[in-house]
Amino acid sequence: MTPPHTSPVQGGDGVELTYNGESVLFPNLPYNLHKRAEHLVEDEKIQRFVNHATLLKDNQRKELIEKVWGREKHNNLRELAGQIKQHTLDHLDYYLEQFIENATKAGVQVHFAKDGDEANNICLDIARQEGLKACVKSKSMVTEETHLLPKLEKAGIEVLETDLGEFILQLDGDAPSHIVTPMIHKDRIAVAKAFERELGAPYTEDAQELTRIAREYLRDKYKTADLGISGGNFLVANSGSLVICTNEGNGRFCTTAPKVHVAFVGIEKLVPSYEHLTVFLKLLARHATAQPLTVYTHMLTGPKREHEHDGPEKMHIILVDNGRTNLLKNPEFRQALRCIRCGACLNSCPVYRKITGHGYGAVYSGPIGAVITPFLKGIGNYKDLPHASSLCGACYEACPVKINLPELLIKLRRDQVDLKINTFTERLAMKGMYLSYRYNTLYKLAGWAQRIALRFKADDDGYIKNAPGPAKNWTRERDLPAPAKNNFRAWWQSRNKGGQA
Amino acid sequence: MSTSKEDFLNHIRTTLGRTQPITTPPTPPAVDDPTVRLTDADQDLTALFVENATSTGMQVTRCTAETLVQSLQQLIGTQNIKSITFNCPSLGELQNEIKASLQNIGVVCEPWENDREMKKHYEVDAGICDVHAALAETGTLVCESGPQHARGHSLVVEIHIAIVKASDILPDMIDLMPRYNEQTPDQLPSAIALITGPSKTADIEGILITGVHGPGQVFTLVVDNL
Repeated sequence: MTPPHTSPVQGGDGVELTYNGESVLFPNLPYNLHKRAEHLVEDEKIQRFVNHATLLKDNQRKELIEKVWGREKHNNLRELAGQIKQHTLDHLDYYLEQFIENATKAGVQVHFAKDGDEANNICLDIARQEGLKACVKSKSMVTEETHLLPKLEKAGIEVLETDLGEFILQLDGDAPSHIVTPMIHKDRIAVAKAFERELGAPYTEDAQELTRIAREYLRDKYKTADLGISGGNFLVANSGSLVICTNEGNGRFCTTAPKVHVAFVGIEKLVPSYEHLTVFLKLLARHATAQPLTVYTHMLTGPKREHEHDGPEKMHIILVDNGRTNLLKNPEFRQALRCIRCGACLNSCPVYRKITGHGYGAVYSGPIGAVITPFLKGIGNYKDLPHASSLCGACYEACPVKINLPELLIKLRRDQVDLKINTFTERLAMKGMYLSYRYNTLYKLAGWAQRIALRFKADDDGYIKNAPGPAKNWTRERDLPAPAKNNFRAWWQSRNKGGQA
Repeated sequence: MSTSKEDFLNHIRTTLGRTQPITTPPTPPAVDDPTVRLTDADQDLTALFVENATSTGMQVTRCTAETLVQSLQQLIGTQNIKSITFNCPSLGELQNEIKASLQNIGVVCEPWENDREMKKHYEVDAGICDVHAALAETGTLVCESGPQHARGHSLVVEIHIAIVKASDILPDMIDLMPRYNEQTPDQLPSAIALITGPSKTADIEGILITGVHGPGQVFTLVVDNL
């Protein structure tokens, strides 16, 4: 059966820039998940890539956890990690103040942004004041949220994403679809074409060669860049440090080569001390990519010192709220801010595997994205997300900080009902169900009507191929056996009276 | 204009249901050693470090103080290294011996000090440096920036050669972190780099490629008796 027509707009050779004219990560709101998801589910190539990559990562993680810790010890460590984060969040005002004081002592200029626009403007102001023209950027989910790049480019600053995946996405006008492996949905042919088109490089599909092309191109940019933008994986309160974890080394380059470094960091990234940081460093890379640590863990405390030889002259940290206080405010959902962005829940999720990152229509995808997006963007704007789950619990098991994601998804569904933002049909159906459970006669009547209707729709072989109403989606993929002529009770009663089954 | 610090903190305070700042420092959950520690001190730390460093993709060789020069020369030869930046203050007298022997085989040692733009690091074939510590747990090198150490040694060069003394090797990351408690924020190095392998990516179809931005090859010489 052909899906509804949602043709993606092609830009460049075979490149998908938007879905039905809508931006990938910033679609029109309220976001309709089903339309886009149908298209993605039918895309054989994306399905193949994402399924292979996520299953591999998920299995590697499980094997490594078994090998390194064993189930019990791992569980204890996760429990500790969750508690440390929860404690920090519960006292966030204290730890933030401590961080600000210490970072300032180290020579960092700390800024405060209540939303994305403010954060972008702070960065633009810094660039303007220092006369900065060429920027190299390492991966930062926060800057995706604030949509920083177009603003910098409009101000006449050349910006290059240096994370290889993000660099390729930028060249190709595409958007990331996974927190950790952003171009999980793309293949090397797309990369080869993009490099040929945008960099004038000779066409090659060899991954090693493609990487070398990117390396040389970006190295030149590091030499001439005057602004380095990064995100932050952790903020250490009692030393004022910023911690950045990368595998490629671009995180180190962007925070070392240019003369000004600006970091965008969400307020939830705080941990109390370096010892507490250890707990998270031991978990992060092992959960994300089954490595003991990312190749580079860069712990930065202020700009270059007088007696040092290299490093930025100025270092700025922009602390970003942008809706995080909505989550902080709600004691039930506060735990969602524990997230250390490892991506393990994405890799474990059967729904993510089907609808893939772009299906969530937001910066954060997967189970964590489904929980936090309604808080960051408005619960009424992403009504489908809490329902895009079978509540299998794989995400909870995968989470290194024990965020009870399935429970939070159920609570979001409850909130939708309380706020009456679920559909009228659903409310009607629930009311009907309540009444039929409440009144036995109604129950019997409903059962009888259902049996009649479904048996009427059945084919001669006793199967319904095309069920009416909400059951329509079920029968798209399967046949529904028609119910028996009489229900169990009637059969039992007639049997006891000596009748036939 | 951006939000002021007071407004920002106040907003968070009220979000958490408080009207006044916290006066007594809260006690975070303790980092319990048995829960966190993966590697004990009573193992053969050098052997464990070598094993784990190798599995990250580093090329590890063991030697002694007496054979260090020879091992370096061999490495220089097989990798066809013509120019280096060199920095191993913790090797003391051995430094001069190493520099002299490398000069003898025609290797040029470039100066690198006080260069914020790291020009020489871009130009040389390899960067040779010592480490501040190494972690047996994960096969990690700890390189701090400081008066005698640049970030560029282990970042910009195509080949990074690290000299690790056996006495540098700590069992577990939990043994490293307390070191930084003694220093105030302005005293801490501006950059502490934990390096666990050569620069890598698997962004293109999950294929593992080394040498993306950081050094594509990391050679580690472990000196057993230092």
